[in-house]
Amino acid sequence: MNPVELAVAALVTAAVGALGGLGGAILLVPILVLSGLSAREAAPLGLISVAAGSLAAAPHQLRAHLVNHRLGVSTEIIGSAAALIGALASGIIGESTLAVMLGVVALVAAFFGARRKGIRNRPDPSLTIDDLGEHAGSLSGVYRLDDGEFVQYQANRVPIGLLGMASAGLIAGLSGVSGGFIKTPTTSEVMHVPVKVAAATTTFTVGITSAVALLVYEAQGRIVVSDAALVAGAALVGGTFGVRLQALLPPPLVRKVLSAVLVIIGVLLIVRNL
Amino acid sequence: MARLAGLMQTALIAAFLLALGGAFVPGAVGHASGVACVVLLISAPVVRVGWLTVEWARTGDHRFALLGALLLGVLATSGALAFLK
Repeated sequence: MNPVELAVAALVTAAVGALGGLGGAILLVPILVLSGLSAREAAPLGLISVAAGSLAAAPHQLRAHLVNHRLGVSTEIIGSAAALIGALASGIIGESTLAVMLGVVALVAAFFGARRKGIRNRPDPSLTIDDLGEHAGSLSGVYRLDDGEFVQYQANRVPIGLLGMASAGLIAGLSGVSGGFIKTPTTSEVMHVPVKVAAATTTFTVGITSAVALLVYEAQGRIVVSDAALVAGAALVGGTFGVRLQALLPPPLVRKVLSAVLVIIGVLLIVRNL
Repeated sequence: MARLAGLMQTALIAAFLLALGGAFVPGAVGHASGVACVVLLISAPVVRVGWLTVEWARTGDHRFALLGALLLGVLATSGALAFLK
């Protein structure tokens, strides 16, 4: 893959990943592997893309009070520890095993992306803009729907959610994909946090997970600086573009298209490496 | 949160400029710019967690300030383990 193709792939996957709330690496890493890069070389570039996408989304999501930082920090302790274990173990796992694992990961992401639901919590007319944001001292908050109504939420079943975060961290460290495809559905479907808050909180936490794994990859000498800079620049632009578009397009439609792409990538990766 | 959003906006612009330098400027300057970009991408979420931890401690939300400090501890341990291994 030449530099132009690499930049275009990073830009488009970061934008699509931000749109679907899954993170761009779940698309970028399989594409890089299919284009001839080894899974070991693709993983750091995937995490660079995740870190860049997380930073690109931060200003907009912070101003919109979409992120529940208390929930993110609470769940990320176990997620980051698992990412460290995964990244340390990734150096001893074979190329084809990693590629097949990425294929399985892509299929699982397609499944979760396709089955995710819309709004669970109902609007509360008594809430106003002054209530917007996360609540101090608890894993709850208020967010605003597209039509201007406000909804209160509370994270439930936190211990089960933590198991999902540990799995996501492990996969992130092992494969270089963000684990967002596990974190967002876990936060939304298991912990009953509204999907927009779940996606924004995941975008925050995948930045932390990727930072941990990138430290390990840097120590292992696996980051090619020129390629990383190219991917970072493109993913920053793509992530910024994607998070703006997210507010305009219906997320269910985007997730279904993304799921179809992931199924194709997953099947190709598994068939080629079995 | 407005100040944190402003800080992240500044980091975003700086990371983009450094990425451009790393990708297109040849030689040692370009390499240094690329390395700085990667360092900024790694440190931005850590700074964000640190900022939140201080903010929660300052406003009396001690339980979550403790969790923030614990996460920073995990991150510091990860960094140390990565470079010692």
